Amino acid sequence: MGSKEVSALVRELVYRLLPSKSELEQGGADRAGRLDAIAERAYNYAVRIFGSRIVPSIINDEGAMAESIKRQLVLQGRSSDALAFADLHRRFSAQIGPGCVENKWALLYVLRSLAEDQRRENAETRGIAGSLTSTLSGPASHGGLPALPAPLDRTGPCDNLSPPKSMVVSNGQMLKVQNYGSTSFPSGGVLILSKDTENAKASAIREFVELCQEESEISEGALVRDVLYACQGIDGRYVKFEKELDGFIVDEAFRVPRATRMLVRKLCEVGWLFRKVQQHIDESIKQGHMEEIGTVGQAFCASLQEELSDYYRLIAVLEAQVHNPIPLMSVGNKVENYLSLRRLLVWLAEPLVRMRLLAVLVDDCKGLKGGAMAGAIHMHAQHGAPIVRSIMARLLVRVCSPLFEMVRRWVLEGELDDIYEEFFVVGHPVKAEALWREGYRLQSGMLPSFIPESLAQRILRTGKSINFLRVCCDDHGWAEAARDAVAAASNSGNRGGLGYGETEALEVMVVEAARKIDGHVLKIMYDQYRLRDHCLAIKRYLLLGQGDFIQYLMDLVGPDLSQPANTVSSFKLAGLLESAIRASNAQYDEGEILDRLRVKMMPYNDGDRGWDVFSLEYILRDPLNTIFTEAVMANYLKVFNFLWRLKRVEHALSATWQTMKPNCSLARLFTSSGSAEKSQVAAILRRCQTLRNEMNHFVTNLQYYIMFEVLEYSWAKFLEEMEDAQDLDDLIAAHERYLTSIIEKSLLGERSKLLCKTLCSLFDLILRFRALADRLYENARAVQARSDSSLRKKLERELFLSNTSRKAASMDFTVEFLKGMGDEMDGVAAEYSSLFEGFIAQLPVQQHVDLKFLSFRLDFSEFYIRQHMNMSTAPLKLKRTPIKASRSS
Amino acid sequence: MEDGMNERARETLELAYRMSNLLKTGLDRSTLAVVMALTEQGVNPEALAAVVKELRREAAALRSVSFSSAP
Amino acid sequence: MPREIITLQVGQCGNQIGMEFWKQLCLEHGISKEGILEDFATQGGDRKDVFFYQADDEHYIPRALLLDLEPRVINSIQNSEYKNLYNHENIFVADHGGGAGNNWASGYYQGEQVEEDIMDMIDREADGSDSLEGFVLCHSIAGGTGSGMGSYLLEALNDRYSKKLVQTYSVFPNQMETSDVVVQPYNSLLTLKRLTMNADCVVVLDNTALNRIAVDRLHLPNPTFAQTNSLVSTVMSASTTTLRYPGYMNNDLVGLVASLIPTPRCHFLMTGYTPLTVERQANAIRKTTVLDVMRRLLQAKNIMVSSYARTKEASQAKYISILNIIQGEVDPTQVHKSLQRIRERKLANFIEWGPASIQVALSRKSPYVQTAHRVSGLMLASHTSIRHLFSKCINQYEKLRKKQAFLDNYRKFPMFADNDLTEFDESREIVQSLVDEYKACESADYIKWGMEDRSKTLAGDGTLDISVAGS
Repeated sequence: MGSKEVSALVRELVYRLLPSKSELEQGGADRAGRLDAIAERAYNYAVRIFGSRIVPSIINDEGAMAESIKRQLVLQGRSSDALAFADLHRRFSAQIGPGCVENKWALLYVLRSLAEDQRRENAETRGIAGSLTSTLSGPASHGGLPALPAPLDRTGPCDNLSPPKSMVVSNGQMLKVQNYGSTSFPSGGVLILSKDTENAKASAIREFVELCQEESEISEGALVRDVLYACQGIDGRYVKFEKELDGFIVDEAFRVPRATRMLVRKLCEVGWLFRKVQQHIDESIKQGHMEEIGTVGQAFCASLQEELSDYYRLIAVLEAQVHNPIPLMSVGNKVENYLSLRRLLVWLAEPLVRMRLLAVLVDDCKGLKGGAMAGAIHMHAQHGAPIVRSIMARLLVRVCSPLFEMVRRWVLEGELDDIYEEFFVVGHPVKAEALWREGYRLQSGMLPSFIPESLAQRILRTGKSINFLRVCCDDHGWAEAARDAVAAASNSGNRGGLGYGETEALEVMVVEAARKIDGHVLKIMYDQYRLRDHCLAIKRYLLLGQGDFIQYLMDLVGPDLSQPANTVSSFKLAGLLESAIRASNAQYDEGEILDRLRVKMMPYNDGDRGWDVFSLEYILRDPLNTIFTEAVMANYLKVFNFLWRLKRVEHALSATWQTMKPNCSLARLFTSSGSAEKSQVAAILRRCQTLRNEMNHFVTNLQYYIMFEVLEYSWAKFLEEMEDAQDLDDLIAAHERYLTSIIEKSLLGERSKLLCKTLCSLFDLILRFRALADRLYENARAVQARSDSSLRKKLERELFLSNTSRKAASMDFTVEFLKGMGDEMDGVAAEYSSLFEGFIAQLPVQQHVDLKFLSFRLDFSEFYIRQHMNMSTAPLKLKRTPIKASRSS
Repeated sequence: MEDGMNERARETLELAYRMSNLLKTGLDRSTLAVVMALTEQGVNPEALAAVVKELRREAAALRSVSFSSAP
Repeated sequence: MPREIITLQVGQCGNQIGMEFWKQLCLEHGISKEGILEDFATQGGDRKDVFFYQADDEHYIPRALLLDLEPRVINSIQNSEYKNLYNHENIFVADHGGGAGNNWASGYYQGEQVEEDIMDMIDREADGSDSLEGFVLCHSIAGGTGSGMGSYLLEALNDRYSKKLVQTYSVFPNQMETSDVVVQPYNSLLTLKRLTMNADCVVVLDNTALNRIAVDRLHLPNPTFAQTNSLVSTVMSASTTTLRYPGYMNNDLVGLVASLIPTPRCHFLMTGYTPLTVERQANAIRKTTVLDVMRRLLQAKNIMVSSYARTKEASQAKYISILNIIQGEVDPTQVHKSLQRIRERKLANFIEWGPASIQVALSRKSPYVQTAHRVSGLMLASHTSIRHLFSKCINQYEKLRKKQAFLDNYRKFPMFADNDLTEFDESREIVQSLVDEYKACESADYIKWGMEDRSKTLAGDGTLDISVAGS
């Protein structure tokens, strides 16, 4: 309210209501002189009263008020006046627009209040004690509904005193009053003392009060004063703080009626609570350890202080009234603004509610700070009572403002402005590449419950994104994104200010900022740091997608890798890598990408060959190493090693095929009529060819599976998810799922160890087979050469076989050798069969990964099923049944 | 516009004054105007009533003193 | 060091299909008729250096040898828009220009005579490559030059480059019409022997089937050689896409062929292609799926070998291997479902003596060639029914041979001098054994096939220890 205007109006009021100087001068100049002082005091008094936060105790309802006035008039027997009033009020309330009164209810209230007062004054002159029907008594008498909080409990001592007569309005009594009214209010206004029942009751009460007062050693006035002291936490003369009882009580030494004692104790609850609150403030401020209190704690103390100053104001008003003597019922010719214990009870009812609330808060906030404290206070805001709600709202706005400022700075500037560890986001000093994953986290204890977890996560991520951009991406575009976010947030109806109770505004701002900042992060990752290109490069080089490059690389490094690992020069390999790039389509890739591709030699053990330690790596730095962490790259390495091994096996089988290819001389074996020796060779060769075919079928189909069902499938999903990613976390998760899917489906996961081991044994066996096949073909050619006259000479020259005896000897040797070879080939075939059987049998029983595509491919023509049926031993058959069942499904 | 407003204000005050008289509040027209202005400023009516009563008491006290001591 | 492939196109037919092949490759790689890379061809991802090499002046030049004994076809190439594409040093036309007169013996003999010249050319090309993968020979088996000189070259290559792969695209004569080449059965048989003995992989292009496809599917009432040849060039370019557009798998010819040919003798592949239709609208509207393509590739009407028919005899026929190369926009994740469907419906019969499956290679489609079809597919398969084609060759040969017809033409040449016709007999024996082996492949006991027979004859022979035969 315009306080200046009000004070001018108050002065005017004072001037109007106090007698004029001229009027007083008739009685003497000195009295006129006193007028100024009185006017000043009256003015101050009025201002103080208006300034205090007295909440109207009845509800603003103009209609009800008018109705009440009419009823009063009727009760007074002034029906025609009531009608006249109704007419006036109708016209009055119809007045709307500029120039007319807005707060009609308030005016009516004042008018009625004054009317009542005037009437009572008239009545008092007739000796009716109306002391208890003051303006502050039960609101029901004022024609309004009782407002919350409900008046204090009036049982017990209350009954000792006569209840205000309006409190017990019943139909019967109303009738009586009407009767009484009609007789006692003659229109002439002449005062007549009528001895009716009401009067008799009043005198009875008066006598009772006198009795009560005589019983007490201490005057009520003194008790009131002491209670007021106690209300400020100070011991009075009679009322003192009793430690054992933990409360203010009237000193036992004084004789006071039990009811009064209880009343005092009840009244002093406020004092007790006040003490507690004051103590908390004092402790917080005096201790002065900011790190223990924090900014939120400070704000809390400040709001408490503010609430208390309101309380002080009220106490001051009350203290001013203490000096007015309590009128005894017998004396009641004039009603002063006096205080009695009972009146105090009314006055203090509302402060008590407040103080209770504050004390509870103080209790709950003990030892808490920051977000935790705000959260604890917030828990009390969920309250139905409007008074509690309004106090809590006022308090929380203050208390939370440092917190919201922290959120704002964090979300928009990425600054962690939290020296007292109050914020729900905590930072840890970490290296740049770990900043995203480990640099910041939520401190759930400091998260006030009015900020939902999901929002908190968003807040965390947004600030983290800014820091990520600043530290890892060396980007400054985020500031603009943050500005945009603020602009967008304020456009959507928010004034930009954040505070408690505006969680929605906070959410709007955070969501907006998150959207902008996250978008910016993704844009930077995609555009500036070319995430997609690198993912593709990794797929092409580490996951062998660039087949021609891998093939050349294998051709080139193969000879070196067959050497013991400790003799392999990584320098030379790096050179070969360079050659492979230049020979393949990889050469068209950008230098930016190719520069990152390196040879990596893993630590080796004794007996390791180059094959065992060779691998490729793809170097990624800030900020991409936030996605491609060391662990992630280690997983890529694992996949690379597996795929590389698989390629090597394929390569070996392909080379074996080349040694036995259709137009090689051995293939023409059947043309000339065969010898037993040749037939034997042919048998072994056929065996070798079909075994190679079997192995090749396995390796090829495993590769098809890896390509279609593992790499391409996962990649397609990854691209989809990349498209959907809203923020870096989504992106990281998508990539992690991509890599995990590859690892799991390539049988490299923890749960596939057994399968993987079988697979490795199969690979090793195939490599052994290759060596065997090479030896076989070499020797078979020698055998063939002997029987083929055209080739014999050539071969003899080579082998220096000149005489027939040696030839015979060597032939024996050859027969022996072939037999050995045949046995060895049988051995390899048998081992392969059992390993492969084992592998294929395990496939359908894998729980964690769906391998039916693989088993389906590996036995597309159901060759192995048939083979198994033919072998048909009972236990094996049993073992196979579930597989067949799963296939048919 | 201005005239209409003043006209309406006067009318409102007149109505209020008649109600006040009907209720025998003892307020004169100008004091009533001040009270109306105060309620319009949002002053708590309860407090306002209390203040008016208090001031009246003060006035009564002053008057009684002056009259009693009058010769 | 790309795995270079040198193409030898021999004879009239060989040069015709070769020319079509290079046209197609130029289009797909964005190379102009002069061999210069077009401005728009910047998308990359393709490998040109398998089939082309880059001359100093930024010309792309085919690694191709154009060989013929008569100048007609080669002249037409040299007068065509593509005259500047080829390396002129790689063109060989016999000095006399008289051709081989549809006589295998003549072609073979002349090949022997000019071996040195041709081998020089081949050596030069081979030396120009970093890691030569092998040779591709395009020819027909019925005429004189392609069959005779081609045969000679196969033997020579086999001898000289024994470690290198030799693949042929061999056009088999149309057996439905009476040919103007009456000695066609002789020529075919003699060439088949070389294809069996000296080639690693023979892609059989059966003119009977090509004609049928042109008439039935392309609605060409009287298909010309040019028209059937363009079918051949389509097959040739499609079968090399995985080499030209590298991916995770099938990046080299050896690897490709190795999984198609499990045992050395059965190295004759038949092909199927889709879409082979002019009813474009119908296809353009419908989205072509992997399954559609794979199913169509197994249909007889799309197969370019006539023996692949559902005759009673063919019902025993089995696939030894299948590779489907699918080009265009397809969803890789659909491959499995399609395979599953094909197995469920038992659309393909496989050998019983070893594992076999349909391999599917997905390959890029050239971004520079606009086709009405978003997806196309090529099947390369080893199928035992191909033996009927060879049996037919033997039958026709025997009909002629019984009559002792036209043998004089052959006796003129050294190989058959003094009425020495053992070459015919030997060739027949070899082709018959090839037929037998394919037949054996239809049984589950193929692995043991031939062994028992031999040990019996050996036992009778008695020249060696019994124990050897037993093992």
